[in-house]
Amino acid sequence: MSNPVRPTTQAVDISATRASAAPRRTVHRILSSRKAVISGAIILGLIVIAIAAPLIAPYDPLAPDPSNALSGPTAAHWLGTDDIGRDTLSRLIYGIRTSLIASFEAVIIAVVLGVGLGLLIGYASGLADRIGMRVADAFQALPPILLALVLASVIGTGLVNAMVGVGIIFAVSFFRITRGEVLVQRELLYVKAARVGGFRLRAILFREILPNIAPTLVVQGAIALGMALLVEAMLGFLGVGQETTQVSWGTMLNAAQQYQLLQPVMTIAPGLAITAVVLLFNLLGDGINESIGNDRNRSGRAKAWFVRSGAPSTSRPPAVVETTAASDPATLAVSNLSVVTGGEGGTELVSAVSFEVRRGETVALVGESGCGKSMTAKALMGLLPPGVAVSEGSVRVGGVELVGADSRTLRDVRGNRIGMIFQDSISSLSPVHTIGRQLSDAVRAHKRVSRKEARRSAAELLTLVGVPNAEARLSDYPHQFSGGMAQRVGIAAALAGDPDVLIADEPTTALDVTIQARVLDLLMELRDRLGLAVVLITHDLGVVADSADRVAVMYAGQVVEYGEVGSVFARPQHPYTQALLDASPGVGSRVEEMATIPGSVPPPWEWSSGCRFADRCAFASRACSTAVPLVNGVRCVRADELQLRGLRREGASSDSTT
Amino acid sequence: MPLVKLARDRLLASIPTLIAVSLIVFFLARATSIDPVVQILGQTASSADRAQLAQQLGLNDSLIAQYWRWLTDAVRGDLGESFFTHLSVSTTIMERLSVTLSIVAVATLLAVVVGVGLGIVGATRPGSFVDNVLSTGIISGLALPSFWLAMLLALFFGVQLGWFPAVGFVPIGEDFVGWLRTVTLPAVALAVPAGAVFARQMRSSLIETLDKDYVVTLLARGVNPRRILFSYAVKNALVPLLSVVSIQVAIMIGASFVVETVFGIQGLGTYLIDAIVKGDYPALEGAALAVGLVVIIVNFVVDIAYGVANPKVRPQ
Repeated sequence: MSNPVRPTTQAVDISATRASAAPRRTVHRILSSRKAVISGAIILGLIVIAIAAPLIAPYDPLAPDPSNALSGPTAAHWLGTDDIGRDTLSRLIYGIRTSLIASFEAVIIAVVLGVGLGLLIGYASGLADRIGMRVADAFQALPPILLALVLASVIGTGLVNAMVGVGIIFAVSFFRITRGEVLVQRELLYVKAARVGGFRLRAILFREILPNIAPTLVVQGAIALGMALLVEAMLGFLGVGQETTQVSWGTMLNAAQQYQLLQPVMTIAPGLAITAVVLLFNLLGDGINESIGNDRNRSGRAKAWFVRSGAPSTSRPPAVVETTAASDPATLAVSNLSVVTGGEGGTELVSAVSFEVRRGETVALVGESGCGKSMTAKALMGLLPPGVAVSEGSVRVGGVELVGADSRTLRDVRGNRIGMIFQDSISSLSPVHTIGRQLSDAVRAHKRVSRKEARRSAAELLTLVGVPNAEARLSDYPHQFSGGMAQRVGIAAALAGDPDVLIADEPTTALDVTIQARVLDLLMELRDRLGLAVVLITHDLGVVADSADRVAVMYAGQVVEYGEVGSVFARPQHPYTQALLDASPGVGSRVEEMATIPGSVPPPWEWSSGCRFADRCAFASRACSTAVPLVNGVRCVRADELQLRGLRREGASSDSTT
Repeated sequence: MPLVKLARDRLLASIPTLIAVSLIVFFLARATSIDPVVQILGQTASSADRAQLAQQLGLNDSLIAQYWRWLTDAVRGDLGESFFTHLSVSTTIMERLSVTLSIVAVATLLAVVVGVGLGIVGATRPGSFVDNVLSTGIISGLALPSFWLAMLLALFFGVQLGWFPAVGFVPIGEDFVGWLRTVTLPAVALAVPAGAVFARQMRSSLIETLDKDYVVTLLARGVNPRRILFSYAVKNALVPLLSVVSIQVAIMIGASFVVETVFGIQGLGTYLIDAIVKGDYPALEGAALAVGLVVIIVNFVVDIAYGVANPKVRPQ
């Protein structure tokens, strides 16, 4: 028997629910869930049948007819009769009454009692709270059916009494939900209270809590209805709460036990009825849970990578490009790369991006969030999310075409020819595996070496990236590392397969300012020492000025300006480049004048066919409404006429990285 | 060492829970409406006889005194003797509990293995035909009353096909093959709903895990996707499953009481139900306390397993 009533399993994440507290919207969303509406409608239908049972049932459910005992399904008795000739179908229909009354009784008691105690004890806190939680733990250490049996004997026989007991047991989980929410709200209010002053804390507290937990209570309540029905059936089966005037599916099964062989319908029908109604309650709970946005099962990033293999990562066969001189393995050549979502004719996320990096060089991709920098990086690795694909263009590493390559080739390229470093160093490591294990696996992904050798390589890698005490730290877990150290581990892992090209996706953004420079210095040192070609994605222009050779400024999926860092920064030709420079605190060196760029990057489906920056551009004219090609490294029709302001001196950038 | 400290902390934390369990068990048992004295002597007994018996059974002392006596004896392993059979409650419980626990243990093993397996299958192809079929099966499994499933299994595999005995139980110590044959059907009946819970939990937590940054990072390092799935993602996804397992064990013990009656197995269930009906306080209190203790032990083991699986919760 499952018990979703207890927290943890299907328990709804309360914090996730909070966002959807607006009651009308919640109701609307629940009504738009087919699962919730259909199961809810059937339950309503059952309620109608239960009320109208005397009109619907063909026979009196209690009237014996010994001459017709243990009959199978006949025209007169569709589901046959029981051992004393009572009509099974009629008993089943009357049984709905008992089941629904029992379930709703138990759940209403559970909610009222649980929420009430949760509010009281959560508010009282201190000793009362500690005792309350221990008692809750104790109640959950005893199986619900055991408590129900004992409580039934305490409260007195009869189903109504027995279900009071079940209600008390189920109250525990509602108590936990409510108490948890009270604690959350207390925390929030204590912070606020300082400002609110003598405002009535208690009133606010209780007013805030109920709307917040309402969706959770509804979901848990629906599931608890099913649970209560299962417990009711067990009690009936065991003969507790039996009353001769009431027909219950559990007691029907009890009676069926002796006549299983003679009349199996007696066993099958009530069991199916119980299963069906519990299923309905569960579906109702599921439907509501999904519609209020708590369903975590709808995602598909995993699908593409773990099931199919060998599927090409492009929607089109690779374009044949004549081989250039780019046979040095440490050369990454990206030309005309476009990425779309939604298949052929879908929305473009990256449009015709081209750049090239050679051994020992760094090319920076800069731009605001949402400009397609990271999407470009993922496309290079063949790690685009499902539903997103390269629609055009070419990515070559040392002459090997990656667009359209099979998964086998891509796997060989990843880590081995191209390494990648991610923004969030800690979350890029598995929390439950040691650093040594993760580094060894990265080593063993490309080299056939023993575990011991792999571990030795791992220690060498850690030393290479400047993690002190490398050997000992191999047995540590990611949470034992600081952000900066974890990023060094990330770099070590990216280097485990001796790649020629390194893609660093905002490698220092998540780090402390003091650590950023050191990690960046390490990257540059490694680039020079190992002869890597580095693609550096960042929005910190100071970093670019310090470390990159060339820069590609991206806006709304396009490269709008591409060239040597020195000349681009000194004499920007695209208004967006200038705007970025003006908005960068360190680089512009005129902090008092620091500007922000008005507006924001439009989402991909709003990208115009003309200049995509025109809406935010101070220099926009009518000419900007037609498509703009990249000419001499700049994508602006007015590039020649504009006199844009660059950096006064290049050295000015240094304060942002020290 | 951190694990030893974790074990000590958890052990200390479970003492108040155990005391709370003993209080609930004792006072609920005493609150039941059935008078053991009437049960033993019958309705017609004289009031003098009744008073004498109540005195004999120690029922005239204050409840607090009776609780204290019971608790202190229980700590020493003595749960008293049954009002009716005069057999030692501790001895009987050990016998009965071993039956119930062997069924629940097999059921847990089955449910975890099959549930986790199906969860992995569903999570790696979300939205596919296979996943939809599995999800439908899982949500139906959640709704199945285990005792009804037990009746169907007994009828079909026990009576019709004769593959397994439809009634009775052979202790594991007596005859292993006989035990396996008798334990299978009740264990399957318990395992189906619990396995559905595990499959559902595993599926959703694995899907969530496969969406994590480190999975993409591992792919970017060229690690084999099968390896990422089985040695990284599954291990991470199993961590939240642990607490679900401990909850399900408690539920399965309760469900086993009912399933045992279907198969006519003399487990803890029949002992408990009998004790409730007759007002056999020592038997009822002892059996309920034993169940509470087992669940608390299971929770403790799960907490330690959680500490092993998730390095973050280990005390530093």
